[in-house]
Amino acid sequence: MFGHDMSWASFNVLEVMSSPKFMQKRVGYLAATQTFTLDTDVLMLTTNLLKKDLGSRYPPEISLAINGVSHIVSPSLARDLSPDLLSKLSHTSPLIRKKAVLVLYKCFLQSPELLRTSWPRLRECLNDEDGSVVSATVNVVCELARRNPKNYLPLAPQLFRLLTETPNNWMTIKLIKLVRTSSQILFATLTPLEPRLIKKLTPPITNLIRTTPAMSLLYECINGLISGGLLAGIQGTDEGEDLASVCVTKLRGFLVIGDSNLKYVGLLALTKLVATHAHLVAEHQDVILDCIDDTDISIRYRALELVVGMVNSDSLPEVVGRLIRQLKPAANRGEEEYVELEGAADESEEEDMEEDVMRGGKRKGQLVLLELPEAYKRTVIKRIIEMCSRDLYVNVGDFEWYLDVLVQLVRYAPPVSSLADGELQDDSEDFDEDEDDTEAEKEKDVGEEIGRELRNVAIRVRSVRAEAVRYAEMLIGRHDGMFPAAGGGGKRVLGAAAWIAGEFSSLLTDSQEALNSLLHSSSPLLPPDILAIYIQAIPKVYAAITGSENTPWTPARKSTVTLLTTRVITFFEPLAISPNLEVQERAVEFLELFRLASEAIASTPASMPDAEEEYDPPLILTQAIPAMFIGQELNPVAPRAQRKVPLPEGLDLDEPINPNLQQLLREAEYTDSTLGTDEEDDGFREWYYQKPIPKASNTPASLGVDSASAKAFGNSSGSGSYQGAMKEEDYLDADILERRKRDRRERNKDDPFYIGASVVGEGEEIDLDSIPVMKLDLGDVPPATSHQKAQTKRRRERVAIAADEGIAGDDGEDFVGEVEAAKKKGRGRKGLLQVDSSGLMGYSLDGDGEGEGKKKEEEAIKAAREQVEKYRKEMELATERVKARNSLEIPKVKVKKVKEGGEKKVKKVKKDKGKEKEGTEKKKKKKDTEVEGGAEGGSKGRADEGKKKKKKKVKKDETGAEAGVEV
Amino acid sequence: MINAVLVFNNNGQPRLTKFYSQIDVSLQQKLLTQIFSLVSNRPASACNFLPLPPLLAGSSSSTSWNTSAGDEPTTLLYRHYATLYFIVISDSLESPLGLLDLIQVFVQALDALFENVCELDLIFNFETLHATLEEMIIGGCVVETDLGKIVKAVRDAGKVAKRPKERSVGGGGGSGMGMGRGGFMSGGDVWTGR
Repeated sequence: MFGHDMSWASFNVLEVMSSPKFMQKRVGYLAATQTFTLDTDVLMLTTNLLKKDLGSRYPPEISLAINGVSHIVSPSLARDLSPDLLSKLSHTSPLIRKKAVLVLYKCFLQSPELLRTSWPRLRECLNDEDGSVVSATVNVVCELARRNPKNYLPLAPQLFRLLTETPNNWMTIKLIKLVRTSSQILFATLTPLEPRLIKKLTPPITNLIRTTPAMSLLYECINGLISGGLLAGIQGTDEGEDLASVCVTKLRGFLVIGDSNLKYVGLLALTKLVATHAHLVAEHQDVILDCIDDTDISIRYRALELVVGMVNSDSLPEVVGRLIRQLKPAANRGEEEYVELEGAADESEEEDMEEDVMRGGKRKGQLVLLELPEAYKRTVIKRIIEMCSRDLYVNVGDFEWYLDVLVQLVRYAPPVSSLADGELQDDSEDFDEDEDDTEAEKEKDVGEEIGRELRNVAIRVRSVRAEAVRYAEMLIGRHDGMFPAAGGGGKRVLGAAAWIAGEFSSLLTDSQEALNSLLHSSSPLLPPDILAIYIQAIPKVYAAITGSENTPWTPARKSTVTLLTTRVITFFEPLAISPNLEVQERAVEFLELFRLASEAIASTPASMPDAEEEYDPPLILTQAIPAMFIGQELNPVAPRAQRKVPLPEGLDLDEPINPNLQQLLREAEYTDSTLGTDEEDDGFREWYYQKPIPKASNTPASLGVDSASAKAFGNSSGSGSYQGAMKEEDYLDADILERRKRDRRERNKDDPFYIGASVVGEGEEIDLDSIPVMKLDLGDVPPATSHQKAQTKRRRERVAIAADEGIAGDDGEDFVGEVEAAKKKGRGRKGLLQVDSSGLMGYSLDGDGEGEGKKKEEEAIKAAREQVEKYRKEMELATERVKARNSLEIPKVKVKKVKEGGEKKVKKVKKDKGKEKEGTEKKKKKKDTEVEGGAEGGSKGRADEGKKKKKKKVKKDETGAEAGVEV
Repeated sequence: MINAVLVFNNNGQPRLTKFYSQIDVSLQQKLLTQIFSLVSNRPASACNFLPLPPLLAGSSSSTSWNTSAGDEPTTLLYRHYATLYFIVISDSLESPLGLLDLIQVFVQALDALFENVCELDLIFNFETLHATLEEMIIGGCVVETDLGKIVKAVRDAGKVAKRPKERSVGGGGGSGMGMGRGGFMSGGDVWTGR
């Protein structure tokens, strides 16, 4: 009973169950309900016992048996016991009746064909005089309707009456749920009944919402309206808008009422609503934002989710600010002094901290300052990125701000789970309710995503590219405070940073320093994939430093270049034997190149300033190496664009390019292969360096630009939208802020509307020169962004955001598909949506497993479902027929005959279905086709004898039913 | 429907485990541990909703709230009374707030049956505990929410044993029905045998 295996005792349990003493019987049943499974072999022995107990004269015994059945019912038990159970539907005690109704549902789950025969009786129970029986029946109908609502449409008037009349809240909730589930599916199938139903349902539900005092009912009504699609259905009409705003107002009440449960469900409902009525939800931003800072982690999660849907370009800075403040380490939080407006929020922050500390202390004893669980932090960071990058940064007005935010996020990156100590690990496991943390995902550092964003911004938004490069520079320089002090989180951002630094090396403020940090002795310790990016970035930066043609080849230059080259070579040398293939390959390639370069440098004499002879710098420096990296501008490319590049005709990838490869290689070993001297450059240069005529299909597709988060065309921009109460000071660190201030001042220097920054704070002047501030190239619209729409609501700079590039003719629906796929990938959610849709119509016949085994089951069920649906329909038809006849001919005996006649046709179907169900349920791996084939063959072979048996059974059923009536 | 009803104490020892679908014992154990670790970490002020434990979270997740009418468990509710946690796992077809009330009714019913219920009552009279639950939930569906009816039904079934000290006095007499049937089953005195 408390989790111990006792399958060995099943026979003894059975013995106790059959004891004549009620008390012992009860214990026996209890044991059976707790331990018997469908596989228990003594189950088949229980049939008679259960029959006997069901037929008992004492209600407690019957209810005992009924409860027993509800737990251990198997398909065969269901078939055998159904007559007895049906007879209990007309038992004198409502106690028994209501339980029988529910048990029948269990039986239907086991053998669906029962539904057909017993449905009329069940339907009668809706008119029962006892409230609980009706309630139970509604419950069952609700469960059944979830599987296939169409069957139960005829009940609509009856249920509607119940909805308007019943005083029982619980039942009303169920009815609303019923409406919800059925309308969900009805909308999908576009049943003609649907519009009428909506019209009919809206008034009473609205009425309920306005009047009911019960919070649970109120919530369910609103929830039903929202997730049933009713609101979406009447959207656009005045009535619909009214109703929606009523709902939102009521939900606001939930949030402010102070009860955390109501808050939770309120947020839940709002999250659902936000998809259709974002503007209405946004009106209540104030309360919702308060929930983000709630002490309860569950509520925070919900609020976070809601906010992601709700945020718009106006509220983004504030929302992000609040979130980042949460990430702030507690120690920092304490010493922060907030500015005036933050008074209220400030307090909650303190509380919050206390709460966390208390909790941490309670559990872990001496643990220093346990803050929010790491998983939560991770989710917050991901959500922030998601919010900002949505719809190709449609909400981001100020990209410099965004860059600052990103850098700040790196600083707050939680430790990577694998590195975290046990306690933290514990936490993150506990709270990772939100998707993302499957094992693989868990290893992932948020730095990866932050890096992706940095790269995206650097590529897409030219105007802040310089800024991005500067940040990348700082990141790879690993300046103090760029990364969290402990835990090693966020390190994966280095990959992207190195890439940016390399790719836009011309924009580097101090390329020498950048190269130094790339070549730092700790670099080889980075993870291999990042190291590979480093290796690629080093020659790029190197080229930027050494490649200038104009500087004279002075001895000083020669010596610096020689020194640099040697350093690069020494850096690459150990990597050439790296165990990681990618690293090894890149290192070996560049190593050779740099050796050549150093030879060339050594052989080119420097031109003395006073000498009359001038020497040019070696061509390999000025031409060859830069030519490898400088060429076309890199543009973002749609994730699947490369796949669409048409295969050139006559290209056979299996064909060796040079059939004599082997021979060539062998020759190569003898010949001295010191190529790469200056004269060979020409063809090489022509090939790589000259711009081909720009064709869309020629865009380099594998640039390492992950445009996963890019979603649609369109851009917007702007700055200075800080009307919100949130001050940047609250969430950005001091140094970043300072930089911002400086930038702003610099930017406004030429602006006559600003008073010149004559007074410069102390300590800032020093840095002012060392960090050149790039001007925003406002009017500069890159060629790639032909799909620009400028939104200029208020004063906004136009920031060009490059959209994905694709092949000509690759857009429209295709693009949307891509984007969606990319979106899914980008968010790192595993198969979320797919599972949902399959679960929607889930016709799972057993009561649904807990977690494991379910997936397997689902597959099998999915395959079987279509067929089942077909049978369902037939069953429904048959039910109708039987009903019709029932109502015509009341005497029982006649019904029997009619039934036999009427059922003959469907009988075979029934048989098939039963078999098939058993097959799929029991042996989940069995393929549907097999089952089908087997069932058909079997049923044909057995058709005749089956019929006979069935006839007998039907007779028995009838006698059973009659007996029941007599009792 | 309701997938499971669990009761365990502050140390995570199960006092009642009722799963309305058949799952492995080992899985049950695992689930219990996971839920307990979730629930025990929560401050008293937090709301009564729990995130799904890893074992359940596999297929469903935050967004499935919106779209699915499926069977997968989506809601994990708990209430904390003195030394006991009452947990209900349900799918989206049940009303979360309604379920919280249901737990309340359950506890009230137990309270009425045992007169000031405590954990010991549930340990020694686990049959009554189960019987009460059976009056409220059958096969995962809520069958009765009326406190009076539930208590009456359990009492009628003649199963309500008094607390140990009173038991010796009351004998089997606490249960009128049991006595009435004494002739048939010579039962009702089963408690004296212990």
